[in-house]
Amino acid sequence: MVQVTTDGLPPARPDAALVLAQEVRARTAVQVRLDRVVVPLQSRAVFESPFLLWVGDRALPPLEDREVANLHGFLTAGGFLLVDNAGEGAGLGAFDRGLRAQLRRAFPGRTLQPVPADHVLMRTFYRVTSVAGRRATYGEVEGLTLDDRLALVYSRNDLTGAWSRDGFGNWEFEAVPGGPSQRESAIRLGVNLVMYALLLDYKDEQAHVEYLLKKRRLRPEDLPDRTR
Amino acid sequence: METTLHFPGHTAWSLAVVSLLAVAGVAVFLWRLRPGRGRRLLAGLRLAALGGVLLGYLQPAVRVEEVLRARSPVLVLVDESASMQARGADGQRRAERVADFFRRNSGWSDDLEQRHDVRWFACSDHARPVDRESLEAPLPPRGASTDLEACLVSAVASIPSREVAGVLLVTDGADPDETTPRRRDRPAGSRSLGSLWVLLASEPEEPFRDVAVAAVGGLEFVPARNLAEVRVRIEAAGVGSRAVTATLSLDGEVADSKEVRLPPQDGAVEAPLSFLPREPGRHVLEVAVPVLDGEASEANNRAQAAITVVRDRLRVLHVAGHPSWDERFLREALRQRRGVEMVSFHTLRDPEVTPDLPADDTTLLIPFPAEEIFVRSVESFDLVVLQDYELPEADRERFAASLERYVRGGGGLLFFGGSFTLGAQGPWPDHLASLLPVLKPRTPRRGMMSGRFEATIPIRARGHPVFARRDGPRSLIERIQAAPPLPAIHALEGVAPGAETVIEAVGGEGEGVSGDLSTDEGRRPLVVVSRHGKGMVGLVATDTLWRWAFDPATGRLYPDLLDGLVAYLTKDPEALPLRVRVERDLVAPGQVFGVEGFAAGVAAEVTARIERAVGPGGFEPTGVEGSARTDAGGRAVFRFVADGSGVHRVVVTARAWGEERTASDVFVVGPDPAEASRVAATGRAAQALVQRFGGEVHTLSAPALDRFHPRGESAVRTGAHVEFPIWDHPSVLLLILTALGLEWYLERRLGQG
Repeated sequence: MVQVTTDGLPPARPDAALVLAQEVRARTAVQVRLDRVVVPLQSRAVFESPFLLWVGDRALPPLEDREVANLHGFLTAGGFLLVDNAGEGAGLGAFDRGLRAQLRRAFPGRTLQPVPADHVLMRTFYRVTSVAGRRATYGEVEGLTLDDRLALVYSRNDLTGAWSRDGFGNWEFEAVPGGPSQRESAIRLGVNLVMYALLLDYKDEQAHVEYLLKKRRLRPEDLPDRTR
Repeated sequence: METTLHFPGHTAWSLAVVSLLAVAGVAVFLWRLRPGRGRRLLAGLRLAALGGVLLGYLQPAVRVEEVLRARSPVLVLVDESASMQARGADGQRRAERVADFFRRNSGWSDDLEQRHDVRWFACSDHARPVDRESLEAPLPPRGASTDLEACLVSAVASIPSREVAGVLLVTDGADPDETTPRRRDRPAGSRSLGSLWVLLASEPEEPFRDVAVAAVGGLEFVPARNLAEVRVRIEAAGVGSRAVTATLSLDGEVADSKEVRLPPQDGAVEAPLSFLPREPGRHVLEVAVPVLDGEASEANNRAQAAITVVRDRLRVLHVAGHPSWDERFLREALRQRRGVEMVSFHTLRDPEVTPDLPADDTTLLIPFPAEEIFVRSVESFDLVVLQDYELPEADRERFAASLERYVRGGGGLLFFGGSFTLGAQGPWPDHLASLLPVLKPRTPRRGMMSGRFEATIPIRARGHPVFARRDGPRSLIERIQAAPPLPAIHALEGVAPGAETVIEAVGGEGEGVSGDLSTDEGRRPLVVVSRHGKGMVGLVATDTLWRWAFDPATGRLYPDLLDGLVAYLTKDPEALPLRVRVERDLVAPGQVFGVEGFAAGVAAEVTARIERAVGPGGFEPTGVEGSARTDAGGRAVFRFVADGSGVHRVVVTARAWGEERTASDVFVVGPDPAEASRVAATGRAAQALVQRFGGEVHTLSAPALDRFHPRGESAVRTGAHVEFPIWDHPSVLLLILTALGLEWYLERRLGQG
């Protein structure tokens, strides 16, 4: 799991990606590399991993052209970007405005849209009903859809804050107002985000599998019997 | 020469009118004459004058015309349709009876030829000229069906300018037209057939025993990997109620059989049979019932048809060991491929890895239906993709056996490597050893080899069909060789016997590259394919191929490579670089048919040869062959004449793409199914002909030839003639004047004025 940074800014919530990777590995069959990797958005190294985490907590300076091109190329080539706004107060709004402006540059004519509660993202592994992170300010996450898939998901609830641990393995921040159950929800949402990036609408497909199999089922008794 | 009186410029009507006027004039003249002396003389003179006037008006001439006297044409037509091969109660075939008849009556034939211009024909659905001698041997079956009227039309048309004096038609009287009358665009017309004599090769009330596969229905649309239901109609006559076994074979292999009871009276029974067509393309289907003692025809106890199996959708089963980027990009590429219907199963959570997590209702996990997909439904898929996946341990051997049967029967199986399979995280999958196209490493190792592995195409594989799609083989090969290096591949001993490496991984540096596992010159199999029974197996020895899909610089490399691989493994007929198609499934003996070869993207000399089936799956050359060069569209067209009967195939060969390739298509040579099955000789069609054109119906045993009397000589006017006018002589004028002068003088002299 790779965290991306822009314009030399230090990565916010630097341990969050590793914690999420550990949780995904423990809870699912996904093989996750447990190392901390941070790549600048302007680097071609972003194309080494189709899942990127971008955490911001302050004003976002305009991206360089190379960064915009990489962002566009990454998402259109099939990559998935989780953007988490970990800012507080003015930092929350500043990053929010900066992100939307840069996305307008990378994807003219497209805007972030709320992800509906019945989206497959909410049931791709866990049945998720809350999108809270360290805080539960916003009742929805937003997304950018490309080619009928969510290519980018944007949370303003400091999702990575709920995942962060300190050097002793303790939770770094308290999840408010829900406490441990809110943190568990945040982790489950994180697991679903990883699973969605890997599986897309696989869970929707599963609803049709029984029908598809039944439609063409060739049971032994249906097959021609050469000896009858 | 023939001499006639001719009135140039006058029609029959004008002659009649003039004649009427002349008669009326004479009557008036005679009526006006008073009785007395010289009355008769005056009348004679007036008639002579009138005759002279008429002569001048009608201007008659003597025509001398060349007329040839020729022997009148007589047509002898002998039925050569398939039903003529049926045996009579004496065991003799109808065609043999006909040959006997002509041998016995050769003297009569000589006499006929002395008196007439005899034209000899063999006929089925049209007449074709033959030598008289050839009729003294049984004619082999030919033509699509019996159509006596069409035969007569084409035979009569061969002598367009002459009146037919008589027709002798020898047939068995079996005509499918009796049950399914044909629509005729060009009926027999109004030309006279003279004396029509029909001789039936079978006797009235002759005992008749036959069981026939009369119709095989339900083959109009046969999609691959769907159970096809076939409606078989079996007709029986004279055999009574008894059980027979109807057997259905596909490409020479028995696919289904059912016992059916024939009706006690003559009639038909339905036998529902089914088969599972696994591959698209043309296949030979045969339905057969046993031959009973004394049957009129053995040929109709089996019906053969070349059926076209279509792939409406490519049905893919995709089973992945765990969610991964390789799985994600593969699934996306498969889903985006045209006409794919995919069923995916992924292991989202491994109970062995996370045993403590309860499967409560907070997750949406479903049990993996291994039995359903690997045993019950596997045959319904065109391609099974096992991606970084190990079969469930509990029933591993049984599932492997099921997959083996599936592939041997024609299925496609594609392995993708990964950290869970091919010995990377556990033992080598020995249970799949017979299917895997690669060999187990002699020295087990954990994990995959990592480094930088460049993809390259072995020289011998550069013409492989995997690379034959889309932009042409070279461009795909070039793109693969220019693709970014892959970071990990499986450590393999090499490829299995018979398998073919189509992409190799070369070089590499870093962990795992050195050691005793490297193959010759550092080349390692990356993509390997092999045939397995009727099916195909492919293996991609890495789980990092997704990098070619995700790298924007590679363009459509990943989907194009996958497309070629899937097309090859599923034997997509449209994906083959060399293809051939016979224009018809069923070709009648003697019929001309077309064959179209297609060589993708190259100009090539294509040869085509016809082979006939000898036993299940075997073919032998017939000696018929041809060659043609492809046009700008890559097509080469051939025309052949069908000969013999039964299953045939055309094999085309082209030397291109750096090697020689062949392709084949099957077809059946034989009559229409109705002609083959309905051999009962009712003679109704012959009676209908006689009623329509006049004539008589007899049998070969009592042909009444002494009463067959075609008209004698016929006159043929060549058109050459000379005319001598007989009205323009001065004596005609002198005659008129003399008659009129005498009449005037005598009239006054004798007091008649």
